[in-house]
Amino acid sequence: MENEMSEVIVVTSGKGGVGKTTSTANIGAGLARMNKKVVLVDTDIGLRNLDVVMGLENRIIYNLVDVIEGNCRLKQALIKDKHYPNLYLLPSAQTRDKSAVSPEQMIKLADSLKPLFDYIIMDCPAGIEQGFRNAIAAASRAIVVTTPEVAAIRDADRIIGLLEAAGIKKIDLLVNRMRLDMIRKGEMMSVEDVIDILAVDLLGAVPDEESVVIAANHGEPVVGNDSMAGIAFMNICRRINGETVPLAEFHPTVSFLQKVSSLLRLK
Amino acid sequence: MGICRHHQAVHDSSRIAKLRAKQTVASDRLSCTPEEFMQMKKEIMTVLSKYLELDGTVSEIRVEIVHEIKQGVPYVKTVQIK
Repeated sequence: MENEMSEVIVVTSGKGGVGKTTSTANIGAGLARMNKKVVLVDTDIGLRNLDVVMGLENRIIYNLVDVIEGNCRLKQALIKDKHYPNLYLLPSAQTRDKSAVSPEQMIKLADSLKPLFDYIIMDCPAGIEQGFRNAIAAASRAIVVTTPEVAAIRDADRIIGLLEAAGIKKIDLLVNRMRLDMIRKGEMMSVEDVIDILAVDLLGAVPDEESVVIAANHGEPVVGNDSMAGIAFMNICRRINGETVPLAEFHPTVSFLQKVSSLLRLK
Repeated sequence: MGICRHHQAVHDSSRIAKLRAKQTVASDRLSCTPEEFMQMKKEIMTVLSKYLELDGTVSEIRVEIVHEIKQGVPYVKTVQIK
């Protein structure tokens, strides 16, 4: 049975440490909150970490390479999330390396996931080598994660070029780790600065908040709590799903009260 | 805005970061060094000002280099000059 609306999205960045995996976990949880059937695929073979961010590290029996090599059935390797019954993880293999999987095998894998899920989200490893090529092979859409730093922006631009060359039509930007206090002081590039440099559409911006670290410590998503980062990820998910959520300000969900208090703090 | 401007006089590392990011991205796209890119910028501006009246009001010049590759899909590199 073919799932007409099934979409394969790759979350990528080029540079490591910008928050790809955390973003993947939160986007997955956010889409699941919207009652979508979602599978998150950790494509970083040899450096498994999406399971830890989601707090599912103790439940892994089979992994992506087992599925591809036929050591288990697909459904045996899928791990159901702790909170959302329609969110699943396909974990990566920890003891293998990138050459264990080919782009063609990833396309076959995605095809077998399509009937089961609305969204298939590939968490891409850092770099532009085989792991990257595996992760993007089946994707029709990409989310490029960057932070407001020169090195991350440079790598994001390179990745955007490679995604375009690979024929991926829809490429959106997620600017992570924004610090309003530093932007206000002129010590950090704003979202506008970043999109001025990178010629792609903005999907959303996520503030750098303690809540993200605290949630990750517990192996929980920030989506679903009322932190600014949680709300930002929820808005991103609504945009992925095709809803129009205004992007006008850096943080569209800042309430009037928060605005007033931040104004007062400026003094 | 007024407050921001005042702050930028003292703190302007974001402006420096933006400039550096723009330059590295542009020189990556053209696969030339930042120095070569700066030199190219200068020369393009010299040529343009020879034929056009460029007062201080020009804020941006975009150069598009179009290659025809891969099944006729145009491959466009856009470079901001100023």
